[in-house]
Amino acid sequence: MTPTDTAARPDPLTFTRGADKLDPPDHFGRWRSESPLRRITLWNGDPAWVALSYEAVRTVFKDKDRFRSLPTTPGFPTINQADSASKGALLLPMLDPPVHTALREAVLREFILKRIEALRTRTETFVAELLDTMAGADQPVDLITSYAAAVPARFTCLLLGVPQTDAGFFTQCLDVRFTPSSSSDAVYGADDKLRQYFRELVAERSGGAPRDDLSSRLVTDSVLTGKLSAEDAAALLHVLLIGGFDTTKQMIALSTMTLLDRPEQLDELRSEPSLWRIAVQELLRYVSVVQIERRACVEDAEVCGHVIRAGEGVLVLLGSANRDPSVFPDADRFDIHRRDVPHVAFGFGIHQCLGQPVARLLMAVALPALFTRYPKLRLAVPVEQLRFREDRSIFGVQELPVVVTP
Amino acid sequence: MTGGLGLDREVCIGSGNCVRVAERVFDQDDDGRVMLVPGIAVDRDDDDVDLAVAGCPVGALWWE
Repeated sequence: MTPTDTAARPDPLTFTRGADKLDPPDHFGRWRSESPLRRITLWNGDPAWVALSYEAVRTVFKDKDRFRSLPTTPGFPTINQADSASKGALLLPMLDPPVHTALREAVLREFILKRIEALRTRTETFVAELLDTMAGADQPVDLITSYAAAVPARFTCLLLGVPQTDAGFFTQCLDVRFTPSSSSDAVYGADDKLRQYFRELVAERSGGAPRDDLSSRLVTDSVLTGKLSAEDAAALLHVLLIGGFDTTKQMIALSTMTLLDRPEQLDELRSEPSLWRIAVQELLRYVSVVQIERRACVEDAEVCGHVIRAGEGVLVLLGSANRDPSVFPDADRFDIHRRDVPHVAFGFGIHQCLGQPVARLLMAVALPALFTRYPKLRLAVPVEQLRFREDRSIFGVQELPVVVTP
Repeated sequence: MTGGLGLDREVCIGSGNCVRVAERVFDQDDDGRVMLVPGIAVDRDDDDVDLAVAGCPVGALWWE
């Protein structure tokens, strides 16, 4: 390699965070202040772009015709070896229209805001049960396994109309799937078990009398009418579980950390519960648990003054966009009184998170309930001892040991 | 009636953003797609509607 080549090679993309793990990597902010998009070098030496500013991120997300989600599209970027190995799994977020449109429409009505809101009381009931169980457990308890993971798992049971006792099976499989140290065999094994579970569920719902739940309606409206194959329906249910689990789990855990670190704002929320609505918005923006989305450009496009060529990959950095000071004044400050501005924590464009009403409901129920039930809740170890997953699409903390009782 | 608010139900993906920020004005039909609350008069100066327009992920809402 000549010195000129070295000079021309763009910075490698790294995800290492600074002292405050809830802030995106420092260099993202530095890069964003220089340019809305930037050329970088991926882990395997491939070149790609990063979209850093709010405008660049929204522009790429909205241009579904030029920026494709299918991982087999030429130039589609990967962020690590594991990511590269999973190219074969076709999940809803990784499909383009018209396949994406048909699958999304098959379950769209299930995620109508009012319909999800109607499950609030039943959510409050199982959340209270989980909190009761924590009191009896040996201290410290891991907030992730005992609460943050259990909440989305139990809600999924409610939504699908399966017994609440299946939540344990879901968390067991998903833990393996989302633990960075899991071998790829273990990940495939966990996915196989889940897929088999959903195949059986679809088969069972295809036989008996229709029931009032998501899985039954999906079978009645889409499988029995021939719009979807039984296998596609099982895959879709599998994806709904995966999409909503680790994201919500980490949002509950990292939101708890964020609020424990800001006792004065937490006190305000305790004395004025109506503030939770906007606080949830701010937590979603501030934490931005999905760090990265990927796109491949299929036709030359101009974005914020840069020309992206067909065949080039783009890593869309959602957390960076959500800290763009041109849109969010004093963007690195967490502020529950911040004016509601449409953040991009759920993405933007046709792939925007289908389950966002669920995420909001679970945060709006689980967080106040936790801090009300356990006013003395505190971390059991210094923050520096916590282990974080920095180089994954979904940012997260591995364990969150807490003491719930004085 | 619509106060200059444009709306395309074919483009709508049913994210529910508009209903969340301006429930008085927007609703979702049985398929999840956006509709105006029957009889509602949209006010161009309504900040909540402005927020719904800015937050629509697919541009299904706009000011004409």
